[in-house]
Amino acid sequence: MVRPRKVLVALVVLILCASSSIWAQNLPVPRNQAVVVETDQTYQNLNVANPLWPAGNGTQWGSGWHQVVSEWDWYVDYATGERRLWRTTGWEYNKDFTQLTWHVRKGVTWNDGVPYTAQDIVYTMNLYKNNPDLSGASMSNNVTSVTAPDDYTVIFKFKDPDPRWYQNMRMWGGNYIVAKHIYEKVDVRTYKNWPPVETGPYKLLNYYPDQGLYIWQADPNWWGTKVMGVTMGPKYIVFRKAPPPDLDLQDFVKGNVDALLPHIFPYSLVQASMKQWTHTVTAPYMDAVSQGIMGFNCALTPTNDVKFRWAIQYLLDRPKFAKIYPMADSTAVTMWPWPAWQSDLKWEVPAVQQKYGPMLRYDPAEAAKELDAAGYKKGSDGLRKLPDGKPFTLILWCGASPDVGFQHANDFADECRKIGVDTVVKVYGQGWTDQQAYKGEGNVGFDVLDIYTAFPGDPFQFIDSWTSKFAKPLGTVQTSGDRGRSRLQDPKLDALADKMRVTNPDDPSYIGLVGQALDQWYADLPGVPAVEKTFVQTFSDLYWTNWPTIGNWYEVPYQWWPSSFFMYAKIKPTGK
Amino acid sequence: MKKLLLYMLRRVVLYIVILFLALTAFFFVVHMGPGDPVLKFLNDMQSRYGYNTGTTEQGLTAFKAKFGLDQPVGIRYLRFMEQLLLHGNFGPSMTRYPSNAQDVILQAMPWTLGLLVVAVLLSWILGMALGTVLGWRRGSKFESVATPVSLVFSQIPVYLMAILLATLFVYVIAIFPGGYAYEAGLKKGFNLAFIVSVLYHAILPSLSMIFVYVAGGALSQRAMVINLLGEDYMKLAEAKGLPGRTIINRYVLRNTLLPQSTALALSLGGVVNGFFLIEWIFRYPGVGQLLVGSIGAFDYNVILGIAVISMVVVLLANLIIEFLYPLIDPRIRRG
Repeated sequence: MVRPRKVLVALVVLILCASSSIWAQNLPVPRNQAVVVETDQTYQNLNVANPLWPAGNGTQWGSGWHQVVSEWDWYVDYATGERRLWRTTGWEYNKDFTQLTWHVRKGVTWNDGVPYTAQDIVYTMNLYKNNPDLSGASMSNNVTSVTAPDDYTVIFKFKDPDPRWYQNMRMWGGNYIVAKHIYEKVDVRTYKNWPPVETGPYKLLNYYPDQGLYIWQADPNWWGTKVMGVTMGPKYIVFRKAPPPDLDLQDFVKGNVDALLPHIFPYSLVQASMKQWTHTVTAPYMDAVSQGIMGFNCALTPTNDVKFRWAIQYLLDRPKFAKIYPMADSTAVTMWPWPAWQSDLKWEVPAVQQKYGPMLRYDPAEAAKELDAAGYKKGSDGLRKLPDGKPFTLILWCGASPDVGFQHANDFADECRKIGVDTVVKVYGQGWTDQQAYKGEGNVGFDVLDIYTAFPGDPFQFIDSWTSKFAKPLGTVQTSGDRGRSRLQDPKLDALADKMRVTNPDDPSYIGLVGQALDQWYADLPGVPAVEKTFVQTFSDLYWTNWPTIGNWYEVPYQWWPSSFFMYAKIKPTGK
Repeated sequence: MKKLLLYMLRRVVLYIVILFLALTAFFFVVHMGPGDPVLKFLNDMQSRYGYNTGTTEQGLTAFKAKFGLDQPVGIRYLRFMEQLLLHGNFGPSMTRYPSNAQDVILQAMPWTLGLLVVAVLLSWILGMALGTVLGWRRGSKFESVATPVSLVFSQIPVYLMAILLATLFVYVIAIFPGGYAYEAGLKKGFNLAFIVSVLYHAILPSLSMIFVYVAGGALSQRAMVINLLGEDYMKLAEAKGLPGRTIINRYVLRNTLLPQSTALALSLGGVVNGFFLIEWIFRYPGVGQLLVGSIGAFDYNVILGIAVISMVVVLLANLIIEFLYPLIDPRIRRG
């Protein structure tokens, strides 16, 4: 008879033997041929990659479809400012910008071998025009017709001059071109596009819904290698949902993940990882936005008074915010709503900088002085009152900690209280508080300022987003995202935006127009930039090296960006 | 027998009424809470990926209409109850469209049920067994160590226990996998490799619950046993010379079974909630993971579907336990 003790010992030995590569057992491809990227998307739609219907978007962003499978017609390398013509070889407008001729690159193919041609673009645009409820359909609003005289030329005709329409075909421009030979045979609202038929460098190898794992394999027939001479480094890209942060840190320092997601892996954990092993590679980079007062509510007392707005902006302590930035060692102060990317430096108009720059400073004494001058004097209780003598409370909105806006809002609130402005900070998140914020029940919102300038390299959409057409009445939920958040109504700004709309941004006269618009914007001050938003993208160089980092910025390092596959073309295996 | 049947029927009717009221209340809480799921979804896409989906008002309207979100809450309630009662359908899942909510839930359900039922039953049985030993052997060396340890373990939240076990056994000692329900790449089905993998992956999630609930159960059982040992009939049993095992089986366990069954029934709601957190920590593909994601995305139909199923499961478990009472205690049967 076998003794229980022997059985127990045998069991323990068996378990220890089986423990040697626990994680490797969970990755069904060779670890040293795969880049493991983490994401925080709960894979809502596990096997849907249809960009036309909003419900399909969950998978797209969190599965790798967005990053390494789908493509756009052109990109910008924001690290260098270089335009990258990809599925297009270029475009030209007619004189009055009512017609755009688009040239499709020869040799581009969908991953099922069918050529990508002008017919796909025509088909998609007509789909948008005939189905205004589809995601991205608004891009076709100004398009009266789209035709293809041959397989590599598309002619767009516009109702109104549109010198910027080509931006819709850029990475993150909003337009997805779908495969005509696939989508014309299906119901576009329920079609799953799974496995995805796209033009990108990776194809689906397998997905494991119970594990939330997506494994993409480099397509040996990818057109980009033959036509553009670009070859992917890793054979596999694995997207996996991250565990809770404590376990995520352990996973990282055991070499189970190569590219972390800064949104869920706080900088404190990055620093902790550097103490636990030597393979942490940090790549701190400016995001496409700046942070600060993302919007004053210009329809609500007292922030509907421009003098009040200008007075309290002196309470923003930019150097302090930059030094104690929670997402990185530090960041840069700024007066501009966009990042200091190469492509955007030309919009830092010197005249505007000289006029407003000195005023955008931390000066509580000046804030108090200007509030007094504007009639917001202190009452007997030490709190400031409206010019008519009524009390008021300034409501500040921000995201929940550890959001940077939370830190800014609370610091700003302290500064306000020091000079007698009664202030309360509210955190928006889901449900109730979101509704209050969207209905305009607060005065000052703290968050990122602008997403519209950096990507197209043109401030028009930024200026346009503050025009009165987006300003909904108080109590009405704003549905336009960032647009209209300030509820500003300024006819002068509206008129300038209208002029910018019909001006070619490459025209030498455009910069003058931008200067005027920025001057008006700063005069109105519906928002106040404070610091650049910086993410510390973190990599592991245990299995892969040559990540873009300080001193080697060949690409923006963000692993969630749709241009990240250009990064995977440059990284090299370490041989581990 | 007739009285017993009437008793059972009354309980069933009562539970159906409770289910209906609870579901109605929950429906209105969920649907009347401010927050626009469609708007939130689109804003999440914009804020995370810095990208304008460019969805028009028409798109928003069409999307809302698809999920009945353009109707007043009263109409939504009637529609929901109609499709639930007449068609057994929770409606489409907003975030997993075009899948239906019940398909999505049923896919996740086996993982939760399999692990939860086993963990709960094991916890209950082991808790009672350990508590009986602790009570019977009070004052012994074993009891003097095991009781304070049980006290500590019973106070640790299950999610913290999960993180502690994961840190120790996944990363420090590294003998268990850190997540998922089975190894990716295995063929799901009745084959040895898959079954072994499932059992292996289930160890830490279930231990996270078992350690905490065994400890809590042991303490309450110990207290009951100590109480019972002071009864006159227990002294008579000992005086008669009955062996300890017989006293435990015939007198101790039978008298503690009823209150312990009641305690199990009452704790089920909390146990299920705690288990959802464990699933989230271990990325276990059960209903808990699904619920966390659905709450974040305001997927009303999935949230309500999970709520309905959870309510039915908990009420059913309570009902079963109530039906077992007459079997456990003949006095209830005769009464």
